[in-house]
Amino acid sequence: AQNTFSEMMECAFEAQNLISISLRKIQSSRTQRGGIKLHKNLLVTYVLRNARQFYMSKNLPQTQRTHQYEDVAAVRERQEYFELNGSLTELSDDFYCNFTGAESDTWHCGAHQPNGQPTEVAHQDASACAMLSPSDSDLMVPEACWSCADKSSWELPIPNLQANQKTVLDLDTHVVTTVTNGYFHSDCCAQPKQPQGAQCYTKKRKMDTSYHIVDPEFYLSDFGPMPCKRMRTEDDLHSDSDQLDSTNISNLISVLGSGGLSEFVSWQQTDLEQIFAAQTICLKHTLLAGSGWTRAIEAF
Amino acid sequence: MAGAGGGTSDVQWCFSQVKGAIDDDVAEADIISTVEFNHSGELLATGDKGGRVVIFQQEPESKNQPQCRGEYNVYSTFQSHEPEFDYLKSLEIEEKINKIRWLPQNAAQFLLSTNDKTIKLWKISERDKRPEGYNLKEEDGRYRDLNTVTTLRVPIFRPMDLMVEASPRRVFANAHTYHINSISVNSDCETYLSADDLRINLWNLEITDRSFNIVDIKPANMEELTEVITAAEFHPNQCNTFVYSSSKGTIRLCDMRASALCDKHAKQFEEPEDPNNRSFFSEIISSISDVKFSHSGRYMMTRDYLSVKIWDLNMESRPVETYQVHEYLRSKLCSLYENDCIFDKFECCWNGNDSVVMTGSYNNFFRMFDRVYRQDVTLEASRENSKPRSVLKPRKVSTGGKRKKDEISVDSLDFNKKILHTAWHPLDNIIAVATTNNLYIFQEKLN
Repeated sequence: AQNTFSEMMECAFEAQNLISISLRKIQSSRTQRGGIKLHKNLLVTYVLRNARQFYMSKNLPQTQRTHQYEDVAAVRERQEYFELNGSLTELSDDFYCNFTGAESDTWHCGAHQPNGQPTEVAHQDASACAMLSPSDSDLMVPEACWSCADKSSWELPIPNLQANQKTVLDLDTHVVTTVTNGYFHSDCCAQPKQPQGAQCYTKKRKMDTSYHIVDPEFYLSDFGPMPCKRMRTEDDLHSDSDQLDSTNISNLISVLGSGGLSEFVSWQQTDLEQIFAAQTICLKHTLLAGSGWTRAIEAF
Repeated sequence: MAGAGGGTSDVQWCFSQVKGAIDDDVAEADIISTVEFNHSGELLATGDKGGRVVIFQQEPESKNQPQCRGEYNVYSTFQSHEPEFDYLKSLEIEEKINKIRWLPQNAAQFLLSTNDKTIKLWKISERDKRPEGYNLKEEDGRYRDLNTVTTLRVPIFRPMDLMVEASPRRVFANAHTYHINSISVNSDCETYLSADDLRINLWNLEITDRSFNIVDIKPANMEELTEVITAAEFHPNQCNTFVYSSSKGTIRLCDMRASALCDKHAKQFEEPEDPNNRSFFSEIISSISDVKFSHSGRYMMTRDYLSVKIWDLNMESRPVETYQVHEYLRSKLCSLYENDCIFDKFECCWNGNDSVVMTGSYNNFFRMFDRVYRQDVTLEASRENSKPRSVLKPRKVSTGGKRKKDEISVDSLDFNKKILHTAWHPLDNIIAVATTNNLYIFQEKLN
């Protein structure tokens, strides 16, 4: 049993490493000469999905987990497209909400109980990582939030309850909250806000966590209707590029956040580098600290 | 063990030539990106990352050295594609030549070359005479003063030093949103296809301002994208048939007679995945990097990261033959993912009579699989083995346990030295193998 455990830890670390590497690859592909390679990015998202699925499967006993996923899969209409589940942006948010470099005993995307008794809530939390906002403004890392993360207020004594607890950051509202057994409390935020008090966290993330296959060429792909049989003339292609239809606007928004195009520029500047930097710091930290090992694994 | 070869079991391969810079410092523009023999094998074209095409021509066999087939010497060099900038999309378009395909031979030589976005038809023609004796022009081209013209003469052609000219005859542009990965000339010699990640277009060689879209796998919602097109090729003698491979490891055969838009395949070739081999990287290593019909048209070959598979067009459920190229890499996939090697797109090729297939690997190794004699061999393209007519010694990678003498261990392999592009002469046992920036030519040892 011990061997299996250490193998599992090794695999878990490898999966974690793969997620980090994959996100970097996607990020660096955006600045590659020749434009983003759709094929390579697609393959990288498969690795991301696989690594993430591996982590998810380690958080609960096998049977419970499988059952949960079958439910998820069952509601989807087209099975073939659901091989990918989990949002790319969600993943990077997982990193963010867990790896800010801050030390906190309760800092985990809490799925793991100290006594090894996972709960129903735990699973939901793990898969959702509590993005309270339905829109995936995940990749937005407003500077205010970073400063919030750096402040010692980030390490406010959060009651270290034996019950399941997790602390999350809503990138939309810049509110940091702690969810305890399904209830969340507002802890701190960069901007003064009404504390929300204990509310029943009934708003779960959609369980159909579909991957946003980031069409890296948001700004260029065919915005017009898909041709059936027709000759594509040069004129057609130019006019296609000129139009933005609603499908692609929603793509843009879902990836870029509710700020939409106006924040695209700031996103590119702020971007994932900060996430990675913070994540790297925390990874190193957790690896050096013995007990951090468990926390790092628990994050997923 | 003797080398694998066509027809007989004991073909030995000898070094013939190497082209390219010797120094280890590789200029990025010199990285070879495609290699292709023409239909007679007399011409050998290479494309590189800098957008250049270099064509080598085989010298006629000399009576002095009947043992040696003619050498390949530079015939023509030209800049096919230049770097471009798409202002509308803020995208730089690389000049790298992705593929070269020769047209069937006519009086002059024609080839198609493509980068990520634009295909060009080049005419390669020779000029060995020039007209002299114009009445109104001097020899250097200046116009003569008409008052000095007192007699008339008929200009005549005089021989001159051979000049090989490459001129762009057609430019097929603006038809691909995504990156072009394949071009293939139809056996009808009138049309060709070009394939990008999501679409395949059919062109007429004479018409540049329009093409037919014949395959479109782009989903209505890009979030639902699960696979891309990785390669496509026309059947060698059925002008209505073509195949395209996908990143999911499937090959679809389409018949253009069935409908104008060939989204519905006539056949789908797919081998179920072995669940024991499941890993984080299963999807990546099953992605097909190349597909090639046999010359007969009965079979096709696919290359994925670790293996080469031969498919019978009459059987869709599984390949008829599978050859492991470098199975020892299966345990190294994580490192290969980190250093991006797992995304390398290896090509493969058939010999003239479809009895042997060849593909590249790392450490400048390349592999040949003899389908008839069930033998395989690993050879190396290196400057150390570059003595003229020296026989190539088979190489072996030790996969664990004791490493025998002359074997190389997996951890010693140089993953920066990769052979992605190889070509086999259509008729003879002559092969062209491209390392990063050098082109090696090997020939069968003739006694």
